[in-house]
Amino acid sequence: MPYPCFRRISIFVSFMYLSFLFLIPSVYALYEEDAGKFDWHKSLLGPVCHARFEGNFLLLASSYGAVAVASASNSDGSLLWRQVIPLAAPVALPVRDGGTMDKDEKPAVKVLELVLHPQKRLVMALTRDPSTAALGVWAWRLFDGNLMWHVTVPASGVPLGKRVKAKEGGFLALFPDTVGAVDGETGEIYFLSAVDGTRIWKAPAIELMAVTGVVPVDGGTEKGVVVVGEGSDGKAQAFLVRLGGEKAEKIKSVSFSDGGLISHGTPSLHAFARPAPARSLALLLLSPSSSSSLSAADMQLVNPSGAKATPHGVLSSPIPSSHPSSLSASCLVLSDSGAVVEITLTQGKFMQRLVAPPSSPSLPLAFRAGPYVLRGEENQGPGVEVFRVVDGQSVGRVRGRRSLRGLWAGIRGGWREEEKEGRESDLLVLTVDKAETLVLQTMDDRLVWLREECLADVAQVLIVDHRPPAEGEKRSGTEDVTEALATSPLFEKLLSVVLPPSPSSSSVRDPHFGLTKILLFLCAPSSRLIALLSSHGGTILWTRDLPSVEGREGARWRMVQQGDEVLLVGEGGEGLAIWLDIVTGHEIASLPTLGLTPPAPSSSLLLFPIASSSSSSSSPPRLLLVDTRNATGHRARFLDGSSCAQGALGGREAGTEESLGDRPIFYHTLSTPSSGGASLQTYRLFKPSSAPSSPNWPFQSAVVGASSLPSPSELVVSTAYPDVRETMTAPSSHPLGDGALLLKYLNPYLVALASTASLPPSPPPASLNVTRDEGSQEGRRQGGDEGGKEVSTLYVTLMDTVSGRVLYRVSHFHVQGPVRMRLVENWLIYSYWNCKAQRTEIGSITLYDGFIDRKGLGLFTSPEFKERTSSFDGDASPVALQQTFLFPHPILTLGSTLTARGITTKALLVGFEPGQILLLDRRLLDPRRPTALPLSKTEKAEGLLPYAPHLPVLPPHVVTYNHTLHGLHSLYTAPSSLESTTLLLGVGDLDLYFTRLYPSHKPFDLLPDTFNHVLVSLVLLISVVGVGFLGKAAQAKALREAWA
Amino acid sequence: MEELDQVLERGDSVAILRYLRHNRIRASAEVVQHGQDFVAKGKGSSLGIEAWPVYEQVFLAALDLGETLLAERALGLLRKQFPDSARVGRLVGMQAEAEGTYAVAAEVYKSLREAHPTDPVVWKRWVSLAKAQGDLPEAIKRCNEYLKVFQNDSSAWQELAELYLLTGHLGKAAFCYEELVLSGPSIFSHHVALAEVYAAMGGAESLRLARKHYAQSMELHQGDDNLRSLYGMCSTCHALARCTHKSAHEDKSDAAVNGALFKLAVDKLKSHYRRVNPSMLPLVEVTLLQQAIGDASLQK
Repeated sequence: MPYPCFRRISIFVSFMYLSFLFLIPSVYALYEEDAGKFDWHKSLLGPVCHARFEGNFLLLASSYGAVAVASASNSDGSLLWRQVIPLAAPVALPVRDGGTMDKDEKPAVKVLELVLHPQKRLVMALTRDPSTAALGVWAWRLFDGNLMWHVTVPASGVPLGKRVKAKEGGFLALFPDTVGAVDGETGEIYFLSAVDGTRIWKAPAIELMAVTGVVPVDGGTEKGVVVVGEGSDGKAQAFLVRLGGEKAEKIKSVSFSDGGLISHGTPSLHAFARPAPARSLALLLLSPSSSSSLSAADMQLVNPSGAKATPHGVLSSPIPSSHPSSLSASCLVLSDSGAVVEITLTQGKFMQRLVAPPSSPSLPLAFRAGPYVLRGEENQGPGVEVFRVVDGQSVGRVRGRRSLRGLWAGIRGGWREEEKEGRESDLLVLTVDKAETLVLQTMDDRLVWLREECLADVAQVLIVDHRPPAEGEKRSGTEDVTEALATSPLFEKLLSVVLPPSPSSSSVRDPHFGLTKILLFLCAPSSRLIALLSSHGGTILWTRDLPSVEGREGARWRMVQQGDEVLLVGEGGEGLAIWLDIVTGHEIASLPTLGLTPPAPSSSLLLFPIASSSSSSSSPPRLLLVDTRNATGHRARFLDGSSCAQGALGGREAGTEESLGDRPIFYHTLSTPSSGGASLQTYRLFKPSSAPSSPNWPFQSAVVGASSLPSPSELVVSTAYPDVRETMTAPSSHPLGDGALLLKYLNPYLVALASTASLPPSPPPASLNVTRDEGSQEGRRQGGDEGGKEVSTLYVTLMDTVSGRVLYRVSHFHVQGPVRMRLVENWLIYSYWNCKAQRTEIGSITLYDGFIDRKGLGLFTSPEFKERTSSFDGDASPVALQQTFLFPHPILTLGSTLTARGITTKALLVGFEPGQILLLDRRLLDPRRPTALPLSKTEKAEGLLPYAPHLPVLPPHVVTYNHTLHGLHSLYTAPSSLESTTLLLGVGDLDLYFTRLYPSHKPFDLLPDTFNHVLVSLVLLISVVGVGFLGKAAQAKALREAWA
Repeated sequence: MEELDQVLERGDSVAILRYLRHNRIRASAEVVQHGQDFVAKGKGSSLGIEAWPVYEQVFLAALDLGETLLAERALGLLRKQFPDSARVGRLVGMQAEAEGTYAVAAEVYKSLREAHPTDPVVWKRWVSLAKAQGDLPEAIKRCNEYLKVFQNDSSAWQELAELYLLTGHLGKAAFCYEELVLSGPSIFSHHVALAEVYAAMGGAESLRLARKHYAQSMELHQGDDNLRSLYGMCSTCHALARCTHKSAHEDKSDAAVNGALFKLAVDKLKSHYRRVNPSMLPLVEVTLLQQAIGDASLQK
């Protein structure tokens, strides 16, 4: 019977189709349109110094001059907006190697006060610019952060007194239509319009040594402020300054018999006031005495002076009272014993009540929010204790993570007087700890969000491949562990075929294409290591606090990747080494001391990972740490994960030796004294096999070469080393238009030095290969016209760090820093400011090793040229080509793209003002761009562009889109498994930005944007339906024929 | 391949019916036992398109067992589904045959032959109708008519040969079997059948032809279980040895061949019984010895 056969075939075909449908989702694909969707931008603040809850909004200000508004209800802690207050005048700073500098060297605008203007819904900040010492008032719209106005008051006034140490003081007093800004330094008061910031009136200076408080008065016609401060006689004084008045009216002077400023200079006098009926004012002044007693005075009463409260210690946190009682004033005082006491002044009598019992040891932290008082505690681990003001009952405890540095709190949605009880869960507690982790928690200890603000202090970044841990492996022991990769259900897989890819589906594909990396951030002042996943918008994988190095606070750490582990070397004290698992953050091994006595500066320590002799993966990672402090004899430590052996490296040559690992290890010391000059000395590490000096210490080193800059007055401003990965993957030749080959000079042991000198350009030494570009020759002519006037000159020197030879040297005149350099393959790019022409210039140098003719390489011909594989091969220096280009923006940093196999066209990454990144095609910076037009046939065939000095900044090539990375200083690139794709991490002072790049602008190994998902799905669907239908029809026909 | 017993043991009616159908096993009782529910209780719809061959199968089995009602029901279902089908028409004719109403059946087959002149099965039913009526000459006639049209139908040649054998026309039967041997020279059973016809015809020539075909059959089916050929060979060799009409020259060479073939057949028979049924071996040996005693050429 024929029909079962047909039936079977149709069933088989249907089954095949279905299997095909189920198999497709496991064939992962990446789509072009993924670009621009999976990059992420982290806005950071830095160390938070002010916070304020306003309804559901949280106003934040940091000591890096950033002001931001966050929502207290969203779960990821993202900022609604952030503004960084710029410095009025740029401050010249010394640039270190790699363009990094310590944060504490960076000046930033200090935010003195941050408030919300309730009527105008404006976020207002009072700031002090350290560069000009000017006071500024800034007003941004609460909802979108648009700057509505800002006013700068130049520092023209005379400082109040010599004793004033804290010159950052200042207060804002808010009125419905005006803002009063008090300069704590000069005592001047400015009344500004809250609408547009225009100055309405400036009050005369008040005779005060220090302004310690300002209270707005809003009763009847007496609109003004009461300014409280310390008079020249050491007495507390209060002035009433009426808005629009002509003079400051001294309303009270209170003397404290044993009062005075406390020794550490913090504002010691606090004023608290409540508007009272009948245009009267209740005012409470508090002043700590030198003998830890507390004095208080009521400004309203007839005989207020001399009234004393029971001493409770030094005031360390002003806690404004909101006691509703009229004609009375009260405040909460935190004593040095940790107790919180309410002091009330009613009808001429001081009353005191204990709100929170003493706690020892306590943190000097307390905050009041509505009916609650919060106090930082460390008795049962770090945390925050919450007390009710009314009865002093402890109502809960919020757990902290580390030692707290700051504490703020607020009631969700604001607080009204009539709601006193039963709203514990609405209390939001914001804490910042010593590691700058900003945590928002609720009263019932639920985490609302967490922000790692120490990411604003990145000292070093490592990008490593992400290999998810095996199933069942726990990631305990680390905090803040977030589930890294969510497993995608089959439905999502199926959907990913039919529909265009969604960001959620990327989690499935990314690991297959090497697009998921672990970004390790070493945060310098807080000594924290944070691992971020490059996918999922930069989710924190784990964080780890590094131990403090004995003998030195704030030790510098360095990290080196060794396989699946990261080695951290602490360079303070005697040194400390820790090996951590990259994926989990677990500690694998550690060495408590490296025996570095006395403590060595970090620049004199060199780290060499040594390949393990045994192939087993369980063998501990080994590392050689060379201490180069003593120029005559280096000492080294050999770390093998469990022990640390040390010995001296002799400076003598040995007869026979064994090399260490596959390749010989060379190292060098580059001394760049601040007085000028630079000397390079190169060494080789080896194991002498003939006569080991010590059986326990097999390592020796020998001097190989030395070199120095010709002039001792040259000051090295920047150095650059090539990325070995780039040099190893780079194609060794460059094809020309006529089929000939230019052989690149690919040397991983290069160093580029940029040095400046303020000398007239002298003729270069004959031994050095010096060329000058067009602009520099022009500069020399100009210099000659100026009659031998000193010209600031930039020298760029390329040296070999193995043989110690100078390979190339070029000079530019009229140059100012900062100089940014990038050494890629055989290509050096550097940028500088041409102060004569007033423009940013980019220099481009390429090094070539030789040339093979079109017919030089064939079946029967071989080139005469011998490839150079060692720094000691031949004496001839490489051929260098140099060209200069102009860039329209100041350049912040330079980077280059890096791909897995080096096949994709290289591109330069330029970080430029005001914090954006441009992808610049290498061909635009090729020194071989011909100046003679028209182009020859071979030049056209090669794709050379005619020389044009101006480099274009095309908006489509700006990879940061509309993001601005504040203080952009470093660019890190990593290859993915896809040859077309590079991963880029841009690190700024307050921003992190991660994206995927296609350096050749053609994602040749990705599906195109126009990939027709609908058509493919339709064809598949029609085929399946058609097979089903035809199967039925064939069956019917077979039946008909069988029973004909 | 799975054995019938195993299939029956499992008790899956559909599988049993399918097995019997595909292997063309005429186990009518089992078919009715497992298939009547599909027909009588209307469970056939659960079989999908397999229902119709099952109905046909049950119908034929019911005819075998004389279950007229079941057969009628199955036929009714098929006629309802395929009213114009020749295949169903044949079943109608078969039902008439089973009921003994041969005239009705002849009428049915006649109309079917006119409507479907190239349908071989209707022709065959027409032949079998004559055979069922005991009219062997008519059956031979109809079979010859059929073979004029369908000359390469082996089964028809075989049927015709059997009809000729029934009527004693050995020469014609031999012709039919030769046709079969021509169409399937490697089928040993055709050679056996042909050899038996020649052996039955008698005479030195025919016996020699019979011996040849027995030998070919043994060649095609080697081993000791081709018993029909082996016994046939023994008896033919015996008959040839006792045949007196032969020249001296032929006698000498042919006797050697005859003896060798007889010995071969005897050896194989002995080995077969020794292996399969040793208790029968003495009896077989005595029988073969008796045949050999008669002729000296076979005793070697």
